[in-house]
Amino acid sequence: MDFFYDKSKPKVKEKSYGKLAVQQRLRLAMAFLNPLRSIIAQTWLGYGKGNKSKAFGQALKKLIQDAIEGQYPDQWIAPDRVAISIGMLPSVEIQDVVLGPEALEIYFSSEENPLAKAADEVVLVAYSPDAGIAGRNPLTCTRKEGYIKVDLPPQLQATPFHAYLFVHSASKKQYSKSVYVGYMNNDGINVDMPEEDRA
Amino acid sequence: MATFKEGINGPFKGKVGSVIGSSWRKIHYMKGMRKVKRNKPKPSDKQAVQHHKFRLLNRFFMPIARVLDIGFRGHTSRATAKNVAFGYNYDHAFVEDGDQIKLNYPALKFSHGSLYTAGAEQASLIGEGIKVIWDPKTYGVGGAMDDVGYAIAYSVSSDLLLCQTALRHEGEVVIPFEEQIRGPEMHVWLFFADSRGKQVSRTEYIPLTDPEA
Repeated sequence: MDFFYDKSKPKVKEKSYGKLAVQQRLRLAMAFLNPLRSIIAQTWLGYGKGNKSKAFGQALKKLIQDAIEGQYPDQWIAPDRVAISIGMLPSVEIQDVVLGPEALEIYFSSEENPLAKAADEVVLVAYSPDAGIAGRNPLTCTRKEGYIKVDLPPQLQATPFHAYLFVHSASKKQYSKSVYVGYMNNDGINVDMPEEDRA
Repeated sequence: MATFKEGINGPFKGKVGSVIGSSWRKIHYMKGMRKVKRNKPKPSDKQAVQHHKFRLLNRFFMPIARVLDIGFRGHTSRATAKNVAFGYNYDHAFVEDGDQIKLNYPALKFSHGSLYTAGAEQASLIGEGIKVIWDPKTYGVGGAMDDVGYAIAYSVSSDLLLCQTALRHEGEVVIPFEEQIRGPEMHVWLFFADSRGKQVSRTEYIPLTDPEA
């Protein structure tokens, strides 16, 4: 991931263990979520009371609470526990994932639920925190279609990436909690990220 | 050096006794009179190396201060963009080639930010200059069609740095570099800034490819 500061530079003042651990957590969370700001501004807007930066702050807080593992100085983010969207809307169930050289395709199904509407739109996001690049489906896909495809940006065709899926209502007022599809690399699709690739 | 915000009579400008009041980027400060050292000692070897590094990087960044203003705008509060760029690049900007210290051109960065780079960047020599191409799509996140791409080319032999801009959706730009001034060693970089100039991407170094290949 891209940091503006130089990690190898020693700090002038010695700080407490707790302070350093919290700072590292915040830095990791910020570096992970920052490239997804435009998505989070929409998906977390309800939790930010209509304010985009508050929405980002809430997403950041949730990530720090739920998705950071390990002890300082070896802390990392568990991408399967990151929520890039949040809400009460029922999500979809993934049936099949097809990873091609230039696209990622997902077949899904949806259970009957009073809250689930056929016109709900499904969004697929492919994201690499190391490259700082993400891509989402260009065409609108609805819950009843059962199929979604995202064209991979050139940077993601050569590097491993994470994929997330979420649903929102047609009015974009209600969102579901995002579903982690998996970690896509040359070996195929893995739900668990290899230890050497951890952020 | 100490700075003061507002004295009892406010900040002052000009010479008062042996001190001079001055301000730079809204920072008020006092400086002493210039001392002329007649017998300035020669720098040690380590100092000479540092001086050389400072000179190399400062001279390189000098002609493109305006581009750096855009590339590092988010990080300039009490420093100039050139100084921020200098600090950001200093640690990785040099390579040692025997006794010589040279700039590590592929590692140099002209911007820092979270806007998305284009991907699939290529640069090739053509008759009227250097043609830089990139993927014009935005993939729905992190970039817009009207983002401005800053393509920068540098010829080592003629010490000439040129910058040309184009919109992201155009997908290409030609940097006018005539054959006579190109020289054998050329370097090309590309970064993007949004239409308001507030968000910028990282800088991508693009190796030159042979158009015939």
